[in-house]
Order: sequence, then C-alpha cells, then structure tokens
Amino acid sequence: MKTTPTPPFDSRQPTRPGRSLCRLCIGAALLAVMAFAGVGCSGVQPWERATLTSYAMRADRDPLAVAMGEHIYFSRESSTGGRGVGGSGCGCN
Amino acid sequence: MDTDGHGFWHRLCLSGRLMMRTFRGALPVLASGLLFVASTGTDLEAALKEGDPLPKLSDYSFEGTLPADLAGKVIVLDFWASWCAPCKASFPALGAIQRELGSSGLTVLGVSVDEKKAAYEAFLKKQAPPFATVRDADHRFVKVVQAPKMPTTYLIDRKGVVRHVHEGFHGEGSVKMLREQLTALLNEKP
Repeated sequence: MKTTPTPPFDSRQPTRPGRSLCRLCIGAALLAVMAFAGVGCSGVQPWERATLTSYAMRADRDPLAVAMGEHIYFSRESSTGGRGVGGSGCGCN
Repeated sequence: MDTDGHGFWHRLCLSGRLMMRTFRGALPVLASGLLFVASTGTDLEAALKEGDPLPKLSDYSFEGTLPADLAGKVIVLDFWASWCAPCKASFPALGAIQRELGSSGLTVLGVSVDEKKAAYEAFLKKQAPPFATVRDADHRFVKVVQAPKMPTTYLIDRKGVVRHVHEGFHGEGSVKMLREQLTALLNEKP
C-alpha cells in the first residue's frame, strides 16, 4: 500500500506546550542581548567632545609606535614607503 | 537523492516556516531593538532654527557677564570651545566683524561650552577677542539650542529672531557670507 509521505514539520499540528516556553526564553535572551548591546550606544553631542579631541585620543600620538606600525605594514605588503606612497602591495614600487 | 520523497526546496521551505514560527515572538523585540539603535545616532536636528526667537539669555546662568545692551541690536551668537580648531580659526574673523560693524549696532557674543574652566580662560587669554564671551558651564543653554556643530553661529536680527545659522567655520567663504548677511540685517529698519 502506497502511503503519502509526511513532511518533517506540519503546521496543522497542535502547538506543543514546551514550544511557547522556548519562544519566551529566546525572546527574553534576545532582549537581554540587545539591552546589553544598547548600553554601549551613547550619543556624544557636539558640545561634549572635549575628551575625544584630546591629544591622548590621537592615533598618531606616539611617533615610535607609528614608525613601528609603518615598518610592519610595508614589510608585510612589500611596499616601500608604507602608506606614504601610492600603489599596492605588489612590491614593484 | 532524498530518502523521504521530498525535494530540497520543499525541505528548505518547511525549515523557513519552522524558523518563522520559532522566532515570531521575538520579531517585535528585534524591531524595537533596531529602532533603539537607530535612535541613538548622533546627528542632531537643531532646536533653534531660522525664524525662531532667541531664548531669553537672562534665564540661563552663564559664567561671565552678558552684554547689557543687546536689545535692538544685531547679535552674532557664536558657540565655541577651546578644543575646537575651527572655533580658533573663526575668532580673528569674528573679532574683525565686531570691530568693523560694532558701531553700526552689531554685537558678537561668544558662548563657550568648555567643561574645563582653565582651558576656557587660557584660550581667551591667548586669543584676547574684542567681543564678549561667556561660558555655559552646565551646558543648559546649548542643550536648549542644540547647536549641531562646533562652532555654530546664529545671526539674530534687531527683533531678536534667528535669521541665519552657520554650522562650522569654512574660512574665507564663511567670512564673506557672514559679512553679507550681517550688512543686510544691519540695514533693515527696526
């Protein structure tokens, strides 16, 4: 006798009791993740940027670190001059 | 080849439905989270716009003395900070405007948003501007105005209405525009 194959999930089946609890847990977990992510979002107003403009926030505040970074960059990319000259990492410049 | 008689697309569709059913409850949470993240952006919409009356300055506590005779004058209200390079560049130009047009009924008023008093005083000592400057130490005034950039310069006519807003300072172009607009405002009849 030929039987009709049943799909792996049938939407007409009644919802299992544990499933709603599972959804609730997933929703709560997502909410918690977003709440934790949200506390990291802070709008800095234009008049509050004194700290951001301070010398300590500059990426090039340490000349030695910049020189080392440049050395690593052009050694890796084989591009003499590092970022200071045009061209890519083909090693031909 | 499928062993249970179902094709790949059929199973994919069913998996999608299963996922939708599972995460259906979480969709409003996701949507509200996205809205929250979008709302924390830093782009400001200026609260004080062209056509708005200037808030009463005496309602705010500034460090320093406000000019006493602002009524009936064209005011250049400049928000600045000692840590802001364009503000520093704008000071000589604003000083020149004050010297040139002050006798025609113009007053330049600088409002510093510096949090550090020492930095504010050191800047003023170095620049020695020929116009009045006060410090909005608690940021109460700037929060009402919502200055969108540093510096932001508001040109206010003799009736106390904001007529032009300059965001930032762009060198000679800004100076030329400021002079033209201020001359036009000074020529208006009170």
